[in-house]
Parts: sequence; structure tokens; C-alpha cells
Amino acid sequence: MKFINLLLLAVVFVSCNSGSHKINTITADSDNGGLTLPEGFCALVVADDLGPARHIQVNDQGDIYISLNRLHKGGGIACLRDTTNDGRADLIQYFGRHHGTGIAFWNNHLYFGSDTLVVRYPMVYGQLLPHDGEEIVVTGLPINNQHAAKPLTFDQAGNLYVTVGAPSNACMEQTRTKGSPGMDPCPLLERHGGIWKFRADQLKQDQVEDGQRYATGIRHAVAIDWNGAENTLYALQHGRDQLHQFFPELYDEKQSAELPAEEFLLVEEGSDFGWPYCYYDPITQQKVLGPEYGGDGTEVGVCAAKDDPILAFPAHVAPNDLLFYTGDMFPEQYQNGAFIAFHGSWNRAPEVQEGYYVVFVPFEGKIPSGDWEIFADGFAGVSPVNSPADAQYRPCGLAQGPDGSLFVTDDVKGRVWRIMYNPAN
Amino acid sequence: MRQFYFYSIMLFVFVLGSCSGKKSANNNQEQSENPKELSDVTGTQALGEPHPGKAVYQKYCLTCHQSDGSGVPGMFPPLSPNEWIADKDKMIELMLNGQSGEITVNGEVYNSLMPAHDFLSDEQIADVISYVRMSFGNDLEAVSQEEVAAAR
Repeated sequence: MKFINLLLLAVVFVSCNSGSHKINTITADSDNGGLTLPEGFCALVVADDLGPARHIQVNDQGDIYISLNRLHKGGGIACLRDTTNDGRADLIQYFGRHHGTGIAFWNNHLYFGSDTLVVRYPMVYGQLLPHDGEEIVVTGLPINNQHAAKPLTFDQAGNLYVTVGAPSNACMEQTRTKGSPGMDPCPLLERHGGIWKFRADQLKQDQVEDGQRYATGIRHAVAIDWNGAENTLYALQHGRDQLHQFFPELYDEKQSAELPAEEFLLVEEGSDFGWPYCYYDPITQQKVLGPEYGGDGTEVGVCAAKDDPILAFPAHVAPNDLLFYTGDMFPEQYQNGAFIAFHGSWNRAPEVQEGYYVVFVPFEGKIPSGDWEIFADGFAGVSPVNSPADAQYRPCGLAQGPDGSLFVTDDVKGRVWRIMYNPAN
Repeated sequence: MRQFYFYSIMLFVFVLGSCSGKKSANNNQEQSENPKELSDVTGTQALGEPHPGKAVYQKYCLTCHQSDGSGVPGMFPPLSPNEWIADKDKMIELMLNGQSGEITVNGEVYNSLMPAHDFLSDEQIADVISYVRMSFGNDLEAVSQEEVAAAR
């Protein structure tokens, strides 16, 4: 079976030419599925209308598994297969009774992070659908009415990392209410606002009793990935909102749209990135005290002791997935670098909204070796984006295929793109 | 190139603004006896004061519900015509008590938190509800501050 697959792979080759369809040839869409890409790259639409497609995984056979934010057609996981080798999914089935964001493979199991549980399903080689024998890996995760997603990843030593967002903006006594002070210490940090570490192979672990709070002070991280080459965990934080709305005497509307930075975090055991007490100012390049905790926009205070990001992105652009690229399809500059899918902002209003794109960050070892650049754009379909509802598509998940293609999901309409490289294009 | 886009957008805004200005001017002449009842869909009026609810909207509502009332898909519901906007009492209750838990608006499910806005005056709440009920495609009657006071 493996030999046949190899043979099949050998005759399948990628073509960025928009010529006629050929059997066993993956031809990109003539419009690259609406995306704009760097020279030599092309894209095709793998599937459409899958429901609110969040994170995505592609297995060694090229089958695709996508977490859904709500149950769609009776399932919370969309399972996709391309049976004709044209790159487009022609077999689409829905599976699982939970909805959520986290999804990843480990040791022949598909792990799924619903909003309150991590469950897993055994995979059977050659079968598209996972086996129905659901097992609970982590239980007792808090139900949040904001920042509910529980994304997850694995290291190479059999540990599972789950992010638990804080159901809060800046831990005010009364949620998102002008004049309400920040709680100090913030009690939410006991079970929220961090990354928890569990054993990957142990069942029914409780967040508090069995889990370890690996890192804290992270308001909400949807993008999380283990960098296998560096043996290090990375995540990106959704930074706080509404500085002008709650503190008009300190921040004008423009400052509120541009503060604070979305932070790219190198996460080590015991890291504390400072939420809710601090935020990162990308202009002065330091963590400053939040106004709920007596800050005036420049005072540093306790934030001097908090961990800084390795890179700062524009405010509010909502990093929703991270992928360290290890494939050999893309040029050398992309090797071991980071792709990040940004969902796009909602809280820059009345300024125009931004960040409906996938970016690339080159890496040298554990840290970025250059500035970030937009890799894939055009998801929104309109420019400028005045309101998020104007955006046709919003990038949400990233995965690498067995041939090194990059897959991107959208959770507005449920589209999946496959981005490929062919310099002969 | 960026500058070109900027000026194009400014020109577009100016043209839009002048069209709506004319429309508002006509409205103003026809309904000048009660400026509060002026339809303020575009939010720009060449003559007369803008609806008093507009300033309240911009300060307390716009961040989440956006300048065009379209909301944020999956997070905050739109304020275009829907069953919540149509229900005057529900709107007053929303403003006074806030909202949490799962709700359905125009068939879409939302589960975010809206803080209570009971710190606003009866007049401000009446104004902003009235503004929403005559903007974003809505054409519904205004809410009085007495109605807000009675519900508080």
C-alpha cells in the first residue's frame, strides 16, 4: 500500500500553470482562489462551505481534518479526501459530537480541543473517518463566553499543551465596564490566561489536579505550535482592547487602534507575559502598566519583570494559527520559518480594519532573523475593510501537507486553500 | 500609490457626503418640526444637529457593533433589522442590564458579553435606542426617556 502511494506521489506533480486540467496533475486555480501570493506561488480551493473552519491538520496520506466552531452537518470535525488526485476534496464527511478549535495528531490518534474538553479518537490507516471510540484526555476546562477556544499542540516527549484564554479584557471587576478597576491579583489566572501542560497518553486528566500551568500572563492564545527543530513552544497572544473606550483621557481613538501589539511569544516553563497587568507598546518597545492597574501609558512598574515578545505585530489583527514550516516544496528562506494566519481586526473602529492575511517570519534558531512580511493576502475580497462583516473570508488555520503545500482555512464560509510553489510558473 | 488611494477614498467620501447632505436637507425641510425624528441613516446631516443618540452610539456602541451597525460575525450581532431591535422593551432591558449567554439574532448564534450601560442617563439610553431604531436600515419609532425610567 505504501509503495503504491509512493508511486502515485511520483506521478503527481504540482503545476502553477492555469492551463487545462490533466489527470494526476494538481493545477492551481487561474485566480489562485482569490489570493495574492509571492512570485512562484499559486493556490487552489480545496473545498468550500465546510462551516466555521478553524484549525486544520493534514495526515501523511493527504487526508484533511478541520475543527469547526459550531456543529455543521452533524459534526464538529470536517474530514476531507481527494480521491482523484486533482488537489480538490471530493469526499467530505463530518465527524464528532464536539465543536471547537484545537486539533492535532499524536501517536495515531486525532486529538480535538472542544471548549471544555480535550478528547481523542484512534485513527485507522487508510480510513478517512477516525474510529468512533472517543476517549477524554483532559476534562474540567473552564467554559468561557469569550476567548473560549482551546487550541493544542504536542512536544516530542509526549506532552500536550493546551491554551486556556481568559474570559476577560483586562481582568476588570466588572467585565468591560468603564471605570471598573483591574483586580490585583487577578483571580482568573488560576485557571485561565495561560498554557497548561498535560501528558498526551493519560486519560481523564483534570486541569487543576493533573495539569501544570506551564506559562501564564497570556490573555488569549489561539495560535500555538511546537517548533521541533528548536524543541521550543511558541504562541501568539490576542492583546487587549478598548483603551480609548475605557480611558479616553489617556488614549485617543488612533492610539486605541494601534495599541497594544499582538505578541509573538517564545514560551518557556514558568514564562509570565504580564496579562492583565501589562501590555506591550510596539512604539517604545516595552511592556507598560495597563490603565486598569494605574498605568498612564508610559509607566512600566511591575512590567519590567515580565517576559517580552520576540516580535510585535500590529494591534488587534488577531493571530489565529502558527506553523513552523519544515517542508521542502518552498524555497530555502522559508525553511523553519513561521507562517501565521491573522483573522483580521474588529476593534480598530472607527479606523479601518486590518490584518486579514497570512504572514511569514524568517527564523534563525529560536528567534526571528528578519522582519515579518505578508505572504498571502486578498482573503477579505475588499479593501479597505471598514467592518469585519465586509470581509468575504478570514484566515484562521494553517497546516502543512505531506508534499510541503501550505493549507489555509477560513471560518466565514468554510473555504480551504492549498498554496504551492513552482518556480517554472 | 497609497496617497492616490487615500485621495480617491476621500473624494468618494466627499461625494457620498454631499449626496446624503442633500437628502438630509430635504428631510429637514419636510420634518423640521421635530429634529429628533429625522432619519439619520448615513449619520451626516447638512442642516440641523445630528441625532443626539449618534454621539452616544459612537462613544459606547461603535467599537463592537461597528460604524455601519454590521457587528462582528460570530461575536457581536448586527443592528440591521432584527427581532431584538424591533422589541422596544428588550432594547431598554439590554441597555440597563447587559446581556450574557447564547442568543440567536437573525438565525445566527452569538455568545458574547455585552456590559450593562445603566451608568448612562435615561435620556442617553432613550437617545441611543432611538438612533439605532432609525438607522442601519431600521425604521422604527423612538423610545422616550420616560419609558427607560419606568424600566429602570
